[in-house]
Formats: sequence, C-alpha cells, structure tokens
Amino acid sequence: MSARRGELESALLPHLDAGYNLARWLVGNDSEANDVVQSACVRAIQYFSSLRGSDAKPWFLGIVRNTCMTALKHRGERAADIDVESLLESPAESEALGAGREGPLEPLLRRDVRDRVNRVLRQLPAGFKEVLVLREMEELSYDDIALVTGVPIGTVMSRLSRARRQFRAAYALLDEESARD
Amino acid sequence: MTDHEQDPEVSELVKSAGERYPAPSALRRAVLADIRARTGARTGVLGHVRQWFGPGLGQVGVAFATGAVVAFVALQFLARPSSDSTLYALAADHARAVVTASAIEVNSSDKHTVKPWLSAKLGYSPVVVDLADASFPLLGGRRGFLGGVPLAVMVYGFKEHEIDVYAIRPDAGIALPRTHASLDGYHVVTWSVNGMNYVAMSDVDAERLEAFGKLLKSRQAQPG
Repeated sequence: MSARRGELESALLPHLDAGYNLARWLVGNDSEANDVVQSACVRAIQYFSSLRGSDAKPWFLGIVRNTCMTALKHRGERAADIDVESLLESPAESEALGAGREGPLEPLLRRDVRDRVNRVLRQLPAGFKEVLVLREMEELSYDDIALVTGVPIGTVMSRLSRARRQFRAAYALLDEESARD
Repeated sequence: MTDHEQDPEVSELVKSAGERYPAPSALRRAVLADIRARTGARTGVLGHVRQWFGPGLGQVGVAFATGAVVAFVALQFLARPSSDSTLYALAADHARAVVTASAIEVNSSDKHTVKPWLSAKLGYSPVVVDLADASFPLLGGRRGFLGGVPLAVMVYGFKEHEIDVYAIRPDAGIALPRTHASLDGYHVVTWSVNGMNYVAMSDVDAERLEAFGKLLKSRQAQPG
C-alpha cells in the first residue's frame, strides 16, 4: 500500500540522522548503533498506528531511545531511569559539582575544546547524555524530551540541570589535569 | 515552569563542539528496504485467486473460486478462533510495551524482586528465573492485558530486543496460541510448567526464541 509507505518514509527518514546520533551517543559505537536504529525502525513500522498524527520526531526518537536502553541493560549497564536520580546523592560528588560551578570555563584552543567536550560527554551516564543530546544537539523542547524519555517534564528539567552541572565539573577537572601536565 | 538552572556556557559548548553522528547511508538504504518490504503491494484474496487459477478464469469463475477460498480461510479461523485472536492481542500488547518508555513496571534483574511484585499485583505468580548467564538477562516485570484480563509478564532482554513472557493460568479463559507461531515479524513460543502456561513473544529470530523458550522451561522446572 503506497499511501502507508509514503507516510512511513516521511515519518522515519527525516529523523534517521537524529535517531542515529542519539543511539551512537548512548551505545557508544557504530555497529551497535546501526543494529539499534534498524531494530527501532522495524518496531516503528510495526507499531506505526501509535503515531496517530502526532509529531513523528519525538515518537521515533522515543522508540530509538527505548531500544538503546534495552541494549544497554543487556550489556549489564543500569538503565538511566533507575540510577540517574541517585547519582548525585553522594556528598563527595555534590562537593565536586559545587566546586565545578565556580568561575568561567577556561577558554582553550579550538581543537582542544572539541576533544574535551566529547570526552566529557562520552563519560556521562546515559540518563545525562540523552537529555544533553536531545536538548543541545537536537534542540527538542522540554515537552518532547519528556515524551522521548518517558518521564515528567519537571524531571526532564532537573535532569538537564544536573547533567549540565556534572558536565561543568568534569570539564573543569579535565582542565586542571591538563594544567598540571 | 522556569528553568533557573540553565548554564548557557555548557549549552554552547555542547552545541558547538559536540560530535554529530549522521546515519550511515547503508543504514538509510536498509531502513528504506524494510519499509518497502513491509508495505509491499498487497495482492489480496482476489489477486491470489487469479494467480492460482490463471488469467483464463472468467468473472463467474473468479467469483466462485473467491467464494471457495474465502470459505476455506474462514473455516481455518473457525477451527481455532480464539487462539488466533490471542496471538493478535498478545502482539498488540507486546508492541505497545516495547515502544513505551515506562513499560517495565518493576525494573529489576533480581527474581526476588520481580516475583513478589507480580504476585502482589496479579494475585498469582509465575516461576521467575534470571537467564543472564545465557545472554537473556531478566529486565523486570509488568502487567500485560489481554482482552481486559491482566497477566503477569516477565521481561527478558537479548541485545536490543525484548522478550515478553506471559504467564497464563489455565483457568484464565484464554486460548493459547499454537506452540510456534509468527505474526508480522513477531514470533511466539508456548510451553507449560507446573500447571502454568507460558507464552514468549519477541522480534528476535524464531530459532533464538525457540532456544530461549526451551532454556526457560528447563530452568523453571528445576526445583529451588
């Protein structure tokens, strides 16, 4: 049925880059990202009726995201949903994050910046990575991020601010390390 | 709601320096092929009749042959009406769960957490075992619904796939699907242990699901 084919193509293909980017960041390598996105597309095709006229981008990214989480759990990494909230409970970490908040981030050489940003992003927990990728790279609204991640909008906002704080702290730490070298 | 925890500097860094990974063109082609394969022009009963009986068949012949085929198909369904509707209902429940973020209601790889949760919510409990040592980790549990009947569901993982195992009591009034069945990319395996029926459904390949079903059945049958 070509009408359905057209609908599917216009729902999935424009968002394939965003889906792959999210998956690549969450699973961390190309071959798994490929598997995950293709499985997500098959699920999207099978369950296309659930889109029901809503915005295809958060719908599709949500399926990609869930497929990633299943893959991560299979690997034995704990899912974002359960662990993120407890991440900042240790006093040492809160202290480190507090320290990270002071002062502007040091300006660095361009290539250096790119390298550091990506190193910091890569080592963030999945729950922080996903909100940063969705917000800063894909420029999704809080509502859409809530749809993709399946948590309330308030949680999205607090998770985002925690993610930024942790990013800032880790980035500053990297700075100190390089200053010492 | 205001976001007073913004950090424009961090946002700018991620925005400007964060790596974007575009979808490889091979993936794009594969997805396009998946869409095409799953939306192929449907021939329909009439088309099949023409294919089977050749183009020489006249209108009356087509009508007669179509009637015969429809009757045959209808008889197939009548022979096991509820078993096939169970399959459709399970596939719908599984598909809904797989694409929904909050599907797993009790998120734990610990059978001592999953089993009591299911027992408390459903009033009965399946034999829960972890199969992480065989690459099928227990991810958690949830309630499934089949025609309004709540069912205990154990959720297992295999790579990026989820395997839902529905525990169906014999007195639940639900006809079990055939032992091995497939529907629109989903496969099903059924078995019984200690008087409880189990139906595993997933989009992993049929052989893998078969192996999973055999393994789970044998582990469930072991005491302790």
